[in-house]
Amino acid sequence: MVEFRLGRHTYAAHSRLVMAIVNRTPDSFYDKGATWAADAAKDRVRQVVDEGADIVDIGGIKAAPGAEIDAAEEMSRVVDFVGWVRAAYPELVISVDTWRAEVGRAVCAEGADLLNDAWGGADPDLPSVAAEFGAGLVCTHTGGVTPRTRPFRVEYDDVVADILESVVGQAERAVAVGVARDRILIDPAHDFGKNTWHSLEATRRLGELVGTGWPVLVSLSNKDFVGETLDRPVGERLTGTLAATAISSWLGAQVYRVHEVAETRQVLDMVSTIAGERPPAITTRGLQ
Amino acid sequence: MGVRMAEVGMTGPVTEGAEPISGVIAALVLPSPPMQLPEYVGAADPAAAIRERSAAALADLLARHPKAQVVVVSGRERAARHTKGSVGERVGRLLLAQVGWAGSVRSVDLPFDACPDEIEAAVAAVAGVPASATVLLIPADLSAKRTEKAPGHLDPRAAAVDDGVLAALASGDDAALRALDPALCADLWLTGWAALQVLARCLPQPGSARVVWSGDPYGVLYVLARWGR
Repeated sequence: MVEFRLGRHTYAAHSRLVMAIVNRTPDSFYDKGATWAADAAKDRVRQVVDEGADIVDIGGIKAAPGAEIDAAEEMSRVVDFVGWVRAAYPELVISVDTWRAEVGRAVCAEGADLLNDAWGGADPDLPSVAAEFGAGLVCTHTGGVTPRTRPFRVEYDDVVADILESVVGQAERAVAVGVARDRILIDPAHDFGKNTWHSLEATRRLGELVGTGWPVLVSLSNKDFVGETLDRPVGERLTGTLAATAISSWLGAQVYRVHEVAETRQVLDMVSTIAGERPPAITTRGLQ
Repeated sequence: MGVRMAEVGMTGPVTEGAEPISGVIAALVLPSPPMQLPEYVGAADPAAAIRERSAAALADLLARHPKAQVVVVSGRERAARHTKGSVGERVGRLLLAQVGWAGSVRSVDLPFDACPDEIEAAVAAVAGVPASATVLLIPADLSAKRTEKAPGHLDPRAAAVDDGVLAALASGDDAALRALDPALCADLWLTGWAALQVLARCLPQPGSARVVWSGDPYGVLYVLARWGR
């Protein structure tokens, strides 16, 4: 685990941060449009801040296939909203989930701190935008798939080797175009370009990602690999998500992109405390 | 039947008597989802019924041709990210092991988006097998875009293309298989296209053709079909 920076903040090497998902979409798989309306999205930001989120990750396009959303429509969903969050919460780290450089430029102009390139470098100009604005960048592994496609019969000799090659390569290229080295995160991207076996192995071997020296972000929340592992539909995956969260944090991941902030915060605090990196909140047992 | 084989240009010696022993005499098209492979099966085995249905059809076919040699013809990724062999080949060999096949097995593969030369090379590789009756195993699936939850999401063109392929397989219509639009099939993630091109060329006018089963429980259309005797 390493020290890194996001927005105005410098995070210590043992930090475990919660990145709250804020969807400006009518159709994302988990919330199904719950925060599509601007007022509902603002309420969501207030709630996740209250619950202890360190970062909000604002997205205007659902990951699954569906109606094509062009850059203009994507910008109409996220750019002004980023401006509102920036004004309302000057200290909050704002991430935007986009693969498009032009969207990245617009949100950085409104004060976004981090570009979450969830489709693994689909637009090669995105890192230059992060560099131009002094923003951070999340480098993800997708196995080379086109944005918004599901994995279909993907195989790897060694999925973790493929992840490492991809995300470290993206990170080094980002540094080369001027992104600050300590503002780059790597993400194995569970479920993206991966079947459940791949995502489980990526979780089991997360230590290899941590070992690269880049801070690791994981996006586990309510995903299909949890659902398939436990045979639970969307809506019944929180327990599995939190188990994967605990394992990932023990192995050294530092940022958790989630739907359920309060529950995740508790798990991360528990792990940090077991690890001896955070004191318990109160200790009276046997000490009265 | 020996005359028919000669008519379709199959090479290799033919023995005296009623039964020809060379050339492609039969083929089985079968579902090839990777979830059938042991390395991908978890506690539940959701593809067990698919696998067992294929194995039963394969056992029945091979019982009729105990001295045949088997050639597994499968599509594969053009630029695979692994070295495991195609899923189709692995499915074919799994089923052959499951039915206790101890005879000869060879594999021919070609890219899902094979160009005409690659298809002809695969056909030549099948036809170039030494003198023996040959049974083809064709792990080949139809589109993967049949529903919104399908791997490739819903493409409204998928149903009609799939229906056409099913009809061609049911009637032994090699011309209809050859006439499939490769670009459209690629759009529809119809990964069986290339292997079906080899089938159409190696066993045209099969005489007997039948779709044993088809279904799309996961938004990909699977088909079990038999051509030839």
